[in-house]
Amino acid sequence: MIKFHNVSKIYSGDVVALRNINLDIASGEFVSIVGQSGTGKSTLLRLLILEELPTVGQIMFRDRDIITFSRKEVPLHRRRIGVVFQDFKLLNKRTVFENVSFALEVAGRSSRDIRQNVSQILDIVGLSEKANKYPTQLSGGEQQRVAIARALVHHPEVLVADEPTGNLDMINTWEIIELLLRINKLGTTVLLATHNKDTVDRINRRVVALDKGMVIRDQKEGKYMI
Amino acid sequence: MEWLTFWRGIAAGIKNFFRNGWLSIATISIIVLTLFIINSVFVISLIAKETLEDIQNKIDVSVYFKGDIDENKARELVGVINKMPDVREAKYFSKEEALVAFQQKHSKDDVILKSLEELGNPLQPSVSIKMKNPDAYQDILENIKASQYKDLISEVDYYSEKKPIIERLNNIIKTIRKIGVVIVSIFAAIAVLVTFNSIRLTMFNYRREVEIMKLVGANPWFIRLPFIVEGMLYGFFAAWISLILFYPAIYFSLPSLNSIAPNIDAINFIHAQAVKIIAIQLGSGVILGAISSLIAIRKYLKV
Repeated sequence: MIKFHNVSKIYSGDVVALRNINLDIASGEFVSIVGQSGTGKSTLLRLLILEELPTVGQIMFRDRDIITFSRKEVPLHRRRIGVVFQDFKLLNKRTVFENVSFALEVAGRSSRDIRQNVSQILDIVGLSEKANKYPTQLSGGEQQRVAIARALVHHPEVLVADEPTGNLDMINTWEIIELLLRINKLGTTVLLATHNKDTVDRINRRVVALDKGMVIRDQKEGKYMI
Repeated sequence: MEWLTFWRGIAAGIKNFFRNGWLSIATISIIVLTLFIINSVFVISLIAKETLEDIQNKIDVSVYFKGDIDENKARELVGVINKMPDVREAKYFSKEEALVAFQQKHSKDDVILKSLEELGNPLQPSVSIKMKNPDAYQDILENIKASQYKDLISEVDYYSEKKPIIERLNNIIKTIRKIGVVIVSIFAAIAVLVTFNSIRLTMFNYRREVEIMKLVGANPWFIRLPFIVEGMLYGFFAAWISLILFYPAIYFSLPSLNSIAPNIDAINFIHAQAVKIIAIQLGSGVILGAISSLIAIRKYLKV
């Protein structure tokens, strides 16, 4: 479903973030992208959601090169991909419910449709009872679950998680990972970027290891090794 | 569905505006102050303009007829002059009227009055001409001298007496106008920049919101709309507040305004032009607010 073909990203001043990446991700896969900080994990994900454009190469999403998308197509592309970050990126002045419904509002969905979908997704992430709380009233793990709910609410084909557990303790980390695995089981492709060795080892799924912007290992049921 | 997004954008803008109570108040206050300054400059320029026009109205040129001419012919010429372009007013003064005016002017000077009695009426009938454009005196006098009426004329007080004074006055008026335009432009530019900057600072708070909107796939216009609405609300409220403050300010400074320019009736002027003033103020406030937000939010909206 997703294909990186000879993708390189070079920032000005000859800083090479990614070098000749070739990657093929099938629908329904759970892929952990591992590597130390600064090896290009985030850049790879940012290219996928068109936050940035590659210097060279093609990125195919369902057989279309996303780099050729027009300005109008970019938002539509982003609605097919849910994104979760280390710092949650929640709006503190909005309730949990509003934070999640936000994603549907921008897509122009009807109010009834929004209510139904948001309730359903909050149920899945286990936050139905905190729908009217504000993010600052929640624990880190709960905040990340709100972010995951927001990323999932418009039923994206892919969920991209960039160090989602970086700010969380062990228990919360594992809760989030289990949630991601459950989401994957329901059919959503998951891309997880992390440098947390324990997490990757316990997931026991495909692992792509990056070092200095290059893919150095790609294993079907991998462990964290560099 | 498009309409739904549109209304949501507007609703979000209104919500943001009230949710950021203090920030909104601070932003509006700054815009109110700048609008107030613009209004003051506007009134000052109005007074200056009125005063200059007053001075211009006092300028006239007299064309003297020969003493023995046919009055009907002279009046005919006055009629012709009145129809010429740029002429504000041409008025005929007969010999007798000239005498009365002269006597009044020198009513305290016995020597002159007495010598007049001995001389009879030595004055000539004349036409006094006032022009709309003070640069045009020379042209109109040339026209008259070249016309069929040239034989009626004995002399013109323009070349010998009035030309240097009129030219100097014209220069002063032109310079004052130029300075006025420059000052108004400078203040307008300051107001625009200050408004823009304070809205930009307000929008800085929304960079996170914009980032997230982009992330969840909002299209760029849906992202912009709430901020444009918010900017317009700033302009809208600031315009009303500055108008409300300005009215009593004018009212209480009226005595001192009138001591400078007695002919100007600021309150009546405001009443007569109320719709226009409100429209200009609200229009520029709202447009300025919208454009400032639009530019400010662009920075965070690199799609």
